[in-house]
Parts: sequence; structure tokens; C-alpha cells
Amino acid sequence: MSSIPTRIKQVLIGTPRRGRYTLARRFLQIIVFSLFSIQLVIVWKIVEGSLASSRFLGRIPFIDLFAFVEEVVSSKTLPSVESIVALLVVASLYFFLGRAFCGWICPLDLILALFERKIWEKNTKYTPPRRIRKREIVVPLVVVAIYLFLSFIYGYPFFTTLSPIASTTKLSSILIGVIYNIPGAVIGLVLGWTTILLGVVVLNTVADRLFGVKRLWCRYLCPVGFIYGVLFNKSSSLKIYVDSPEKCINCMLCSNTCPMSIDVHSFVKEKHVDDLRCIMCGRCIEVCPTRVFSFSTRFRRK
Amino acid sequence: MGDSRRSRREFIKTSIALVVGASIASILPRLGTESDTSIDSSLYYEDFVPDPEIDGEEFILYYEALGLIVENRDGEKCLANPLLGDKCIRYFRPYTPNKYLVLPPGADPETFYSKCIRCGLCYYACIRAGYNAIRLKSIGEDGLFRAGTPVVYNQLEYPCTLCMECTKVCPTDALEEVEEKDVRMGIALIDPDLCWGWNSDYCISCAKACPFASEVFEFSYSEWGTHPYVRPDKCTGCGLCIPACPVVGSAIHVLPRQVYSESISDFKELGLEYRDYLELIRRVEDEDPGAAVLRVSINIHYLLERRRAKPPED
Repeated sequence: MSSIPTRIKQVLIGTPRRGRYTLARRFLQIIVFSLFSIQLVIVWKIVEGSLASSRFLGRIPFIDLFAFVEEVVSSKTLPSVESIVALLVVASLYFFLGRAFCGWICPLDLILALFERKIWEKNTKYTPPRRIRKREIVVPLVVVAIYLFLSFIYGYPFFTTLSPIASTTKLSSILIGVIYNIPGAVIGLVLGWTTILLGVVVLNTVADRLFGVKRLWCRYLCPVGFIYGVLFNKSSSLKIYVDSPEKCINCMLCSNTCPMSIDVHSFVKEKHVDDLRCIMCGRCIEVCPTRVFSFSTRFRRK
Repeated sequence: MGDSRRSRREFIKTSIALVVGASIASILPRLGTESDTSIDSSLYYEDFVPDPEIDGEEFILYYEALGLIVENRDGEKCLANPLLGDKCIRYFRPYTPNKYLVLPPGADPETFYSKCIRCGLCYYACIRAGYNAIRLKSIGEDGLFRAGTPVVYNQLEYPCTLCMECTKVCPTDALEEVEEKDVRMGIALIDPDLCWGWNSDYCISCAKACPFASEVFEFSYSEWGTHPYVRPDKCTGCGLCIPACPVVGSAIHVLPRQVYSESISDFKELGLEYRDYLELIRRVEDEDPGAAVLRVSINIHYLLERRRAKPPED
């Protein structure tokens, strides 16, 4: 196994090389993550809150779609006006961008990638990348149903309370609060949220390293990305289009590097990659030696 | 070779299953459990147990001669309440953070926990506004499911100033945007045995600090002092009166509404309702000045020697 600094470098710039999109993605993830982290100690209102719900520049509200649904289910009342506005902001954003939240914003993508096996590591025995199967729709659906059912009977937004996605941003900001001795920022919160995050990382890494299942968390257990995928990946303007199918040399690099285990190669004969698991990370574009794919919007191609 | 590798893999799988199983088993019983909010008397009240070193031997002898030294439940010798005869005189313990956790303004305790999505916006808004009144609950502090919900925890140092910033940022109306005077976080409860106003002095510090003083506070002026009353239906529970109180450790505490109703029904476990106890003090002041003077002198001794409180300046 490569040493830790090498691993961080690999994750940041993406290997095999030409990691243009990975570089941009990691940059954005780190920027968003650090803006959430330093919100307690800076003067300007750039980003406030956490990934469950946040405010951009003190004005524009965002709300996590699944948090919204869970809040409605658990409180059994109509949603508030502000949350609907926030929902519309988020929905209109991802209506154009698809499931880009997972690949470009979510800090878990960054953290899980640090512990994942890479394709060039020895003894890599992954379950082969496939087109989406029934199980990858049914299992997340059942998981979402369980989360909603638990929220309904307990009267607490179940997943949102323990969500590692929101917890990670809260964790870092509270940690900085602890360092700067801000009242109310206690180490107990940091430890609690670290436990949740650690649980997810361990679960995902065990599935990855021992059982060869890529991104167990993102593909099966996380309702947030799944809902974005189901709702917006079909309609999104941003898609991975097949530019020149005749150039494909069947090297299968795209399928093997795909973090979500999509068989990207099988889409070469089609117009674009059409899969609800696609997180718009652009790995398939940058690893392809002959540049078969490219990001494109519906507007740019006539 | 293959066998050993397989057995190692088996071993790893089994141990992981064990660890995951154990962690789930340890977490499951905590799911949904909420801490008991009922009053444990020793945490909230203390009897006046005279100490020869602080109070002096003469002090004890004097009250022993008056027949005012009785035994409390633990068998300690304590000073009796002159109004109630054989019962010990009791005081609120000093205000400490995290004793009474009240919800931020605009929260309805019935629906708050189902509406709150634990985003933390109210906490960040409160820090940004500079009041630091809110903190987030830790995991396991109040059940697993209440982790990350906001709470006003230390009204002595960081009272809520009713700036209403948290209600403005809350996306789901868990904290509803209400008028300042319609906020119902908790209710202030005054201990008449610790309050200067109930002990022959002129002190209206709490009302001076209260943003809705004329509506919330009532005073009855007499030669026995300025007796403050709190109107429970008007009190917002912001806690601005707590740091204003000259009694160190505060004669006035803000209790969550549910705890308040429990607390006044058997005030300080004296077997009396809060209102009845206040009425008893008023009646004794009118009818039996001797007992009233004894009560006041015991209380003032306690305040000056034990709590090191400053008498209010006129």
C-alpha cells in the first residue's frame, strides 16, 4: 500500500492522470467544507449552517431534500414557506446539475475516497461494474422507506439526526469552535459526530476492501444522493455525453475506475451515460485515453 | 496456504461481524430514550445546615434555645422554617449551567423535536449575533434522537436576549417567528427565601432587567420589602433576570414550563403550593411579626454568610 501522503496526492489529483475534473471536484469540496468549518470564527456571512440546511451569503436558503421529506413525515404537518423556498432553490439547481451534489459538494465523497482501494492496487477483486440492476433500486428504496417509517413512528427526523453528511460539516465547525473556545462548542458533540462518521467510513471501507463492493454507503445506504439521482439524473442538463464512439478501444478503464461501479463502457453505443447512480464526477472522461466522453449540456448540443 | 488465507479471511469477517453486532447492541437500547426531567430534590434544593465554623457556635446555641433546630431526612441538624414549624428551611441551590435546559424562542415543545432537522443554523446565528445563548445537545445527553437540537443552557452567563435571530434563520419553523412578547421558553420562579425583596429589602433588579417588566412583574410594597410576583402567563423565560439578581447564584431560576408546573405544585417539597407559600409569608407578616422577623433574619444570615450576596443599593 502506498504511504499516506502519496494516497492523499492520488485522491486529490486523481490517477490515472489527466485528473482535471477530480482536481476541480476536490477543490470545490475542500472549499465548501472549509467554508462550513470556519463559519464560527469569521465575520462574513458566506455559508452558514450545515449540509442539512444552510444559507448562502446570509440570504439564499438551501435545504437537503431528504431532510425536507423527513421533516414533513415526522412532524405530520405542512412544510413551512421558507423550507419550500429552500427546496425550490435546491431542486432548480439540481434539475440542471443532476446528482452533482454527491460528486462535487458532499464531504463524504472526499473522505471515503481516501480509504478506498484504487484500481492499480494489487489483488483488486471488485464485483464487476454493471448497468443498474434491480437490487440497486430496490435496496435503497427499502432503506429510504425504513428511514421514513422510523421517522414517522418515532416523530423524529431519523436519518437527518444521525446523517454523517450534515454531521461532518457540523463536526469540523464545532471542532474549530472548541479550538477557539467558543461557548456552546463542546468536545462531546465532536466525539458524537466523529463516531457516526467513523462508523460510515469503517462500514464502507470494510465492504470495499474485504468484499469488493464499491461505495456501499453511496450506492445502498445514503438516501440523499439516491433521491437526487432518481429525481434529477434523467432530467438534468449536465450529462456525460459520448462524443466519438468510434474512437473507443475497449480498454474498460472507464468502467473500472467509476467509483459508483457503473459499466460506463456499455453506454458507448448510446448518446449519453444514463444511470441514476452517476454522480457527475467525470472520472470516466479523464481516464479515457482516446477521449470518448465529455461533459456537455443539452443546450450546447443543438 | 490457501486454507490459511481463507481462515484468516473468515477470522476477519467474524471479528468484524462481532464488532458491528456489539456496537449495534450497545446503541439500540439508547434509541429514543429521553432523560427524566422530574425534580430530584437534592440536586435543586439544599437545607440550611448550620456550620459552627462559618456561622459560629452562638448562632447554633441561639436557635437551639428558640427550638428552631430540627433534623432533616438525612439526620442532619438543620434550621427549621419558622413559618412551618418542624420543616427545614430550604433554598434553591446556586444556578449552574445545564441544570434547566430550555428550548430557544419560538419552539413548541410538543412539535419541536419532530420539526427540527438538526441543521444547527440557530446555533451559528446565535454565535454570530454575539449572545452565545444556544448550544447543541450532544449524542446520548437526552436520547440519541435529540442529538444536535438547540438548547438554551446557561442563562446566568449567556441569557437569551430575544433578538429572534434564530427564529429568522430556522428553515422548518421549528422555531416559529413570533413576537418577542409571545415567546414562551420557560417561566421564572423566585425563591422567596433567597430574594431580597421577600426579606425586608427594597430590590427590583429582576424587573429592571426584564424586557416586559410592567407586564411580567407585580410588586407588593410594604415595610416588609418589595415582594415580587411573576405572572406565569406573561413571562417569556428569556432569563435576563438571572444575571441581574444580586443574590450570588440567583434567587430566580427559569424553569421549562413542564418542570415549572411540577415544581410549584409542591414548592421546595414543603407540602405547599408556591402561591400558598407566598400567601403564608404575607399572612405571617401581618399577623405574627415575630415569626416573620425570625424568618427574615435566618434568610439574611444565610444570604450574607453562605451565599456572600451583596445587599441591594437603593
